Amino acid sequence: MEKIRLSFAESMRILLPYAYHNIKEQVVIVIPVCLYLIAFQFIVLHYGLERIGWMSGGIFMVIMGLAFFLEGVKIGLVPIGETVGNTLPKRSSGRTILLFAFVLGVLAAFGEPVIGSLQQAGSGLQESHSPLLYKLLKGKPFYLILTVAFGVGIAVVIGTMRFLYGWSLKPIVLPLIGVAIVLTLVASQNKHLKEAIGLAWDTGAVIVGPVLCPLVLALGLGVCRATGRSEGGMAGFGMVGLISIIPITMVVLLTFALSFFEGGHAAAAAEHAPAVIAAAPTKIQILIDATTVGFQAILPIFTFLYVVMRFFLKERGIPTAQLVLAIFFAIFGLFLFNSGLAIGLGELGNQVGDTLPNAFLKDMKSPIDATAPLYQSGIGKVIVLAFAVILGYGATLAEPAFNVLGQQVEDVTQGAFKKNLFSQAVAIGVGVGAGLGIASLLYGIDLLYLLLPPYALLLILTILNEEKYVNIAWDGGAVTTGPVTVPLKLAIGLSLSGATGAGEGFGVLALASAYPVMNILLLGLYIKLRMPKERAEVG
Amino acid sequence: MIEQYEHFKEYYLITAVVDRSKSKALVEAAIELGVKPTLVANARGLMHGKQVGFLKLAGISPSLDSLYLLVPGSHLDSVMTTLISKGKLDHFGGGAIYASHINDFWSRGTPAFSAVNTAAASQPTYEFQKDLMAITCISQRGSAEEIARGAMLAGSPSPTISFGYGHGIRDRLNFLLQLAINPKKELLEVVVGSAEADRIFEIMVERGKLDMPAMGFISTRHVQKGLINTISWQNTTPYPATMEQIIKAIDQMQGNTNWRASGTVQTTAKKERKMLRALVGLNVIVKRGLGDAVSLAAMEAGAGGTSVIYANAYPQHHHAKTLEVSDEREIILASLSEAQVEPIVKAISSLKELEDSPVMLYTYPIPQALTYLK
Repeated sequence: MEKIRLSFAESMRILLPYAYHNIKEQVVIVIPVCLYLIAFQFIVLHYGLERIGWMSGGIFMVIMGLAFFLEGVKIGLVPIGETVGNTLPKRSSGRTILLFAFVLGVLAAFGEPVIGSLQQAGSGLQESHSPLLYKLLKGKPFYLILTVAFGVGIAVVIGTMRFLYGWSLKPIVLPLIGVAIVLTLVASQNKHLKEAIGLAWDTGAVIVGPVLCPLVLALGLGVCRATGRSEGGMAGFGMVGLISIIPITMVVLLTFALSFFEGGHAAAAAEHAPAVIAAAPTKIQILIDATTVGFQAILPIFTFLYVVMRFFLKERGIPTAQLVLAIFFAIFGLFLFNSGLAIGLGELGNQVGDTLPNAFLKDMKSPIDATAPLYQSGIGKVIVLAFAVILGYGATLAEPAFNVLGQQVEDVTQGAFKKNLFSQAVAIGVGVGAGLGIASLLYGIDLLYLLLPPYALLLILTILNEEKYVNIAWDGGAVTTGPVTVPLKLAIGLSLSGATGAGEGFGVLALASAYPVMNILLLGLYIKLRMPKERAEVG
Repeated sequence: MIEQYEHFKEYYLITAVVDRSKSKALVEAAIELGVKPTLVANARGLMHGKQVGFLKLAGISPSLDSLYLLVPGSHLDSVMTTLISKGKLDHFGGGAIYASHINDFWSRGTPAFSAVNTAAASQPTYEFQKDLMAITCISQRGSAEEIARGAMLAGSPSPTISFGYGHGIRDRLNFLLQLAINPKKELLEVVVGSAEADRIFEIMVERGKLDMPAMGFISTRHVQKGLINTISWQNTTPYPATMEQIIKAIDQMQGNTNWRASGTVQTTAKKERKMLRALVGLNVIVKRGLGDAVSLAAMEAGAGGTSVIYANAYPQHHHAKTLEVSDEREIILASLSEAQVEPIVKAISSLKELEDSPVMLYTYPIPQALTYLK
């Protein structure tokens, strides 16, 4: 059919509103979070901000980065992932598919900047104080990376088998979480092991990022379409949740193994380990790092998928020009996003985090000792708590992976489950979780008491709920903690734990994953109650 | 009109809209009756309801399945009756089933209805609503909800909404511009008494601004008989009767449904609209993935554009060497003028891409339609 040729001006009249719309979508999410942080800093903490010029630039980069990255995912990763997922079951045996799933999972896990996030969380770690954590994150991070990647590979395999053979998620999630809880309880009896618990649960929280999430959702949807298996019309959900859960158990096991084999050496070496505090990276270094992360996260996955699609499955997929554009958008978007986070949003979080303890603490190593505490200790802590709840809520709404999941929920249910309802239920859960995490730091509550009871409750709610809500609930919990929330929460968590001397700040992220799951499961039960039942005609 | 296709007359399109939990049983019943393939598309319904606290339960709508069956007139009653009794569609909130007469039905590579002896002896009889009108509306993704609420406030039962995609000028642009134009659409269908149809049609046009450019397309289709018992109210308080039961009781007392327009929603001063009359609807059902070729062929032969929804065909066959089980189809919908039908049907049926794959085409009259006209 004859193509319509448009002039440059006419093309722009189509492209510019589209670009404007995409950017506006990100502006309305990111800007409120920033304004909230700024307002809090000025009005509640009575303190100014430094390097505002850089910061504004960084925030602008975050917005543009999100817009570019999500577009790249939409026009590239998602269609290719769905095509491959849909074609594989038609052309190959179960064994080939599972091998493919494993390789894909491992590749995608290497692309996610998980370890970076966790290392950032443990930046204040000292070997003498917590040898096991130090070894996991700094001494031999390769063990941790390998364990996590292997865990993700296994999770993608199990997730794919579910879609191929129509298994329920419940009998898979229940034992996994059960084992993780039991192992955690066992570990909590041992002083060395105990310190690594928070890390293990955090790993599960941060592993599903903006690349892994849309990728496995698209893949799962494709496989479900081919096999005709979609429990209650919820095709493709549940795998993201598994990717978050399986690494938890794996990392707990790794800590057991490490302390069993090398426990003695660590204790011996502990005495003379100097605490090295890394110098803040320069702007150039930030840009280089962001570029590396962008290429690392995008190129291997795209290449692998494309090779499988073109040469193994012999599918055309999307036009080559579109593919090239998608790769460029995704890498450029991640580059802008990550450098913007470091320069802008993260910096803003750090500055607010640094001043935050002034709200309730005297004698802080902070720039404005003289006026601290600003509020009575009790009130100050409540203010900090409320701050964390609202920030947790707002920052979650800006998470890219979370937005992709919400859209997919709406699409797959034909709009029966609106993205907005899903987003609100999850974001409120994150707010509650973030508040509790901060409370554990402020009031010195043992993390175990906050972490294990909700997960135990989740087991019961999972049993009671319908399969479709179980799937999206665990998926929802997995995507809440990503590149936007991690630096903000860590900035606040580290500053507070530094101020109050409580723990390493690990486990705070994991808490933010538990409560969204609970919210969706409760919502599922509530809907079950409210949905009308049909009645027989009388007479 | 076209070679290599079997041609049938006196067929009906039966649409059954049920809660997703019931659709499997209904599909099995349909297959047993000889309706192969039975097509199932996912959809959602809509409910009136109160806002509970800040949690607006309106965000959740019932998940439905729309079943499409092509059945010869001679078996219409037995198929409908069996489906109603199997799916308990006569219960309040049980679902909807309705049948439209179609003009022509061409089929290839897929057996049309193969009659099975139905033991008609113990069949219960149901009182069908007669002389109904289906109003179908294609709108931009996101605006169907508003249109549907308008129709419900005017007294219609719950509309069925599914996600679909549009084809049109977008397909003739280069890939960059194609990416920037959103092809996502929503398809909404509601069945009302023909006496009410004009009023509800008008309200839907107003709510959806369907007379404005690029807002959508709305059309009607005769429904000869049906049984509409869709859920349209949330559980509110545990009254002994549901709202649906109360409404039905009043319907029976009044003898019609006109009382439902109780002044809640009235159209503003009735505008003189330029209606499109005597159009013909053409639906084409092909394997998923082949729909683009069909849409392009239709547009090349004169169609302004098409809409597509995805459906699964049953029974599903397991392929020996692979894990594929599902049989995904595309339903391509087009509204044409009488003169366009023949060239377009010919163009589609002679497509190379469709060789060796099952194809079904059917046409039906569209008494009235509206969209933006320059």
